Amino acid sequence: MRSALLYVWLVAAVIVVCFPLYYIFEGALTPTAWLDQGLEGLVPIHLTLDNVIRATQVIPLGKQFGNSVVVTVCQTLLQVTIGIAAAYALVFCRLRGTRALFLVLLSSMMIPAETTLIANYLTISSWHLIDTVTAVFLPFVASALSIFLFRQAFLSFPGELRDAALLDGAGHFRFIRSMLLPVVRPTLISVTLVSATAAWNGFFWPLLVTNSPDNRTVQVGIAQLSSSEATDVGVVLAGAAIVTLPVLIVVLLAQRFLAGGIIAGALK
Amino acid sequence: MSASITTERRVALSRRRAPSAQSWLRSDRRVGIALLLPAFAAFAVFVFYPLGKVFWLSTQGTDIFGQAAGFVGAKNYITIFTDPQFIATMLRTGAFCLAVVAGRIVLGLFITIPLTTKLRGVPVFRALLTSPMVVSVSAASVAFAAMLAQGNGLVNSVITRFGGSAIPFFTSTQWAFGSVIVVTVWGSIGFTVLLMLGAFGAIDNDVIEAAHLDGAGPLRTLWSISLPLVTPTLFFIVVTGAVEALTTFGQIQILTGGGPANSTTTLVYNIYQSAFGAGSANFGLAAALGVVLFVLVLALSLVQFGVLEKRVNY
Repeated sequence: MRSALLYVWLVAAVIVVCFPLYYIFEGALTPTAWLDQGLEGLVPIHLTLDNVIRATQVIPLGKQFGNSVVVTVCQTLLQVTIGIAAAYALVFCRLRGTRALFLVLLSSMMIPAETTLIANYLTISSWHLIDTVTAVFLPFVASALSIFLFRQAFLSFPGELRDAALLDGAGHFRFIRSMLLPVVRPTLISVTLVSATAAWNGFFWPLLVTNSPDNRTVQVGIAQLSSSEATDVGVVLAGAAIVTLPVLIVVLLAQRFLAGGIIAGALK
Repeated sequence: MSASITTERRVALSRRRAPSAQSWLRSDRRVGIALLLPAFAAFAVFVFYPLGKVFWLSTQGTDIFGQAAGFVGAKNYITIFTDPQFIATMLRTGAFCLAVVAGRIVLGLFITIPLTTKLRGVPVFRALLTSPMVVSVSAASVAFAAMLAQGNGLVNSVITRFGGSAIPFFTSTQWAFGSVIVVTVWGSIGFTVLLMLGAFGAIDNDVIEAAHLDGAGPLRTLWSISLPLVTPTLFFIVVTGAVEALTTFGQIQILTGGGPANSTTTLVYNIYQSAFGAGSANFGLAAALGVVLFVLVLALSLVQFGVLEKRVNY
């Protein structure tokens, strides 16, 4: 009896929580005329790719998707590389003032991007980078959170082992690549996934620093699709589906790493 | 045999190659500084310098091109703190944060707690109920805009079919604020449930069983054992959720543009409007608002560090 009630509750929760997600994907593949029927439109019996094709005709969705891929790859690669380098230096290189450096790092996490964005906009503008893809990821090439997570992982690696490897003639780079990273692989994967998702989902900053449709990221593109084609529900939902699909695939493939990374970040 | 040869070789090698311990330490430090440089250069240019610049800008007047135009002292701050609209925006922002955080905690718990039981099919429910995590703010807003549109939106077409009159979810002062809150809570519920599942999962099973043996029912166990043990995570969600709600932008930009009649304009949206809104470009005022945001986020972060150090439980 009690478990029956719990099931009813869980099923109700799934319907409410998952419905928008269902609507995004079902609507993306259903003609607008059928969607406009209301309830009937929720039955996926007229599946077509027509909405997706029309969406790419209204805005340069393919180009914008490509921009988002470039931004995501560059931002993630840089955040991970710079993060590994900085964390390695903080943990292993016996620098003086490591603690102070670490506090500076922590304090940078308390500064909201929405405060600094006015000044960053002026910086990017004075470098003549407005309306470029570079401007979208440049301010985020280093992430305090990723340095922090790598540091936590590196701390579990015995320092003597590292010194031995270096005395044996392994270079810093070789030690990091063939000894350190294999040991902290779960952290490496989850930091990569968390960085990539954040880069892919960015909205405010990309909206500010790009103007022309060809230089927009896909997140900004679909928002504009939604206001310009508001009456064409199918096209709007096709846009939403296109930006959601890559993240959905990544999460399905690597759920446990993503969860691990998010929780590790949370319990910092 | 071969092992001893390797050891001998290694000793010989290290004697030949390894410089004195001191110079080795020195080169290690040099490498360390070089490796730290990119990160700290990036933070200097894109985090700390802009923070300083925003403080400086907030004391500056603004010419018609949005450029800083001379020191005006606290004028921008006086402007915002004496503007009834700004006071209304701050109150609205506070209400928004409270509503979003309360929604996340209450809904999150109601969803998570059944998922911690030993029902069959729980893994499937977990995957489904954390799935909104994959939807970006932009995609969620766009989907809700389509779903709740006044003319051709799904929800209104159902309401009118059953004899109701269409609800202006995003275009009336009565509904818009609540609608944006709902979209925001929905967008963060997957992540909230994920965090809560992690916290409940970390509770030692022996503690729960001991409570059962002592005759505590499931509700009693939940209230007196499980919930107190997950308070650090709940507290974490409250603080980070408040910061997240405080910095909400995408939903408002896409769904309402701050309207109607400013009824969904929050602090961060106000920054955007002052600096980049049509015909505005007042960077001095926007910077002063940015400083207000910084102070609020800083206060929340310090509370978090202070309290989490002590661990909120028992």
